[in-house]
Amino acid sequence: MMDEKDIMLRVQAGELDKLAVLFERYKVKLFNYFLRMGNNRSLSEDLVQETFMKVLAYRTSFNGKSSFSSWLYGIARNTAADHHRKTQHARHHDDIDEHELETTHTLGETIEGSQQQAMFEKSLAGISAEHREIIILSRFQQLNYQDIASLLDCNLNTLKSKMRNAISKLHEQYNKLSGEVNL
Amino acid sequence: MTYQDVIDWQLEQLNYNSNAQPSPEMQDFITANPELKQELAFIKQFWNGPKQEQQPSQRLDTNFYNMLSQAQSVEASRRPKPVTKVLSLQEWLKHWFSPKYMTQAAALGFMFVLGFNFQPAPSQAPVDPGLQSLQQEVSSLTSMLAISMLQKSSAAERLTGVAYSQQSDLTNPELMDTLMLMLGTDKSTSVRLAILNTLNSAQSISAYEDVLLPLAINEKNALVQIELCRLLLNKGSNTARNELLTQLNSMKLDKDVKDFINKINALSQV
Repeated sequence: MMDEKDIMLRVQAGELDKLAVLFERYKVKLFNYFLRMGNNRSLSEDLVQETFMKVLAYRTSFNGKSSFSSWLYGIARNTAADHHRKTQHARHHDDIDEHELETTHTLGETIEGSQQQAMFEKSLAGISAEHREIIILSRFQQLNYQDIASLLDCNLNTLKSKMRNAISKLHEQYNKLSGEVNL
Repeated sequence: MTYQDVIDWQLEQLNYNSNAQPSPEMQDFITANPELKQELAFIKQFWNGPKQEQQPSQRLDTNFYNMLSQAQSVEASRRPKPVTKVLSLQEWLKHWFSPKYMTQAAALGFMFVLGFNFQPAPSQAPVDPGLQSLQQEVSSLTSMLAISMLQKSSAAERLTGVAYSQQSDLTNPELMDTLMLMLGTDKSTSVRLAILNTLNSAQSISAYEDVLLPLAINEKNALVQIELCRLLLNKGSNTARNELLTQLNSMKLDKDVKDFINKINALSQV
């Protein structure tokens, strides 16, 4: 499989068709990233599309020093932040309300016989956007610590501390929801 | 050793997909702290559970590949067209020293001598090279500002970007590429109409006819389609105009749209 960095450098050199390779590799991951961040399906698709439009528009700014995935997620985060700033839906980035919980948690609902997994997903949606994002980037998007630290513009120790807090909040939320279910 | 150290270690192992076992010292610490043991079990359960992912709809693929094809057309139109025939020196001499060209050159020389002898005294001071370079710098900065505004997510800001584009001389290829890309993909009709209005003031659109022509033919929005046709009919080459009219005549267009385009065409002939 061709290295992503090389593919992006070829896109930069004018081989625009190579962008399709990166799109195919990342479309599902990015779509689920936006979904898990609390956006609905239609908006998540729009955000993926907009992210790739920006990849094309800013292709000359990719210098190959960072990994392609960290550069891509940087663009994706900014795209979502721009969108929410403009539409004044700040709540998307804070706590997700009940209605959105139902929407985002079709993920959990689709897993037959995995109530626990659905509970994990629900707990994830119940914590703050900042905590949620760190967990999503590490657990679901599988970015390594260096990439996440560079994306969030912090050092490794700060990232570890943030990750620990995020997991602790997730566990609290999980216990809370488990209590409600058992009542 | 603290709780934090152990949790950090566990999370890092999971992040790097490592199966390393805790050191005996750490293991003893975990065994001695049931609360920590419970926390670690939760983390492992969460991390190792199935990763269910949803699939996006076909719409995403369609939109992406449309956007990519637009971008490729713009890129292709930017590349210099290959020279079709390279003349040898002998052919070149034969070509330029033919009686037809000799006559034209003589007429041109005669006009030049006439003009040189009867020209009025220059009324304007020569252009200051410093001023020229300053103008170029301002134009380049305006283009950069326009590109930056065009990439904003708000339609109002993108419209400001289009307005800035109009202030530049529209010769910056990056700016023109961005305008072309947005013309094909922007969600806002107002932005697309504003881009078309701006392109009307460009010196030439010949480099972008390959992009504009399919856009005009395939456009679904009647207003945008009319403006695309107006642009091509007013500023396009004869080939592009003929191609557009042939394609439009063979299409099932709304009668009013067709009438309107025919009127624009008639006016452009005048």
